[in-house]
Amino acid sequence: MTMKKDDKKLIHKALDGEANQSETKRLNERLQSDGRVRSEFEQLKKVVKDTTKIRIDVPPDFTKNVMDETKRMRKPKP
Amino acid sequence: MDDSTIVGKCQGGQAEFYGQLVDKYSGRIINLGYAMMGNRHDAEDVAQEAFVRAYKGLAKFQKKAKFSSWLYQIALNLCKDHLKAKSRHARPTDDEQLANMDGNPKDQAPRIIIQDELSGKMREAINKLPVLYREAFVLRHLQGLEYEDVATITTVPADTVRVRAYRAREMLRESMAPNVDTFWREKAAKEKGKGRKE
Repeated sequence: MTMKKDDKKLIHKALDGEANQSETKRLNERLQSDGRVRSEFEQLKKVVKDTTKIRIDVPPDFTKNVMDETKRMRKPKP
Repeated sequence: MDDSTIVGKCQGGQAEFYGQLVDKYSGRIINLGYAMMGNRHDAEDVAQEAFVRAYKGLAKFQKKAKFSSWLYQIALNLCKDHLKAKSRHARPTDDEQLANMDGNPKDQAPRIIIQDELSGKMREAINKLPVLYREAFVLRHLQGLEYEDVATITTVPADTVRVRAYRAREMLRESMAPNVDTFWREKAAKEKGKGRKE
């Protein structure tokens, strides 16, 4: 069975941090009363949380390389 | 010093201040490229090119605009150009490279901080999103930008960005469903175990 459109909208608003007080209250009620709503909300929350872990660090010489390149651009051409 | 002061100094001929902007935004721009293209080398190349292009364009940059949005816009356009050219001469994504490597892939990609299986699958799922959904999702959730800022960067209305991010989340949830389900099953089993001990 598919979830109600209203529930989906509420879930996504909450994930976006854009749910107002009454929407948050309504969502909390739905989370408590319907396991499917709770499961979907938790799954989406986890998806968003996991994506924030995907990170690489900056190579140590990155700024130097950019600045070297800009210096080359500033040099008058012969 | 805020961005607009630094930009002003650079525009006034004190180019050495530009390094402060590079330091401040390099992590965000490299990770934007990494999320959009899935390849560390491409991400670094595009980020370097974005900073150089921004530097070249600084003289014309209007101080009332936000430097960060402008920089994101340059970087995002470069990412899209790269993705368009991908079919011609692309580097494989890091996940494809890792799949083809012998030995311990962790030893061969030391700068990837999170290299566990789940985040690998997540990267793969993000790479499969349509580009317009991917950019909305990445800017909103990985970069943590407000929808209004994402709208400025992508030059579409904020509500369009909201819909794209919504669809991206749904698609990712579906792609990740087996992994997410496993996670919840394991969590439930752990909690059940705890309950028994108590």
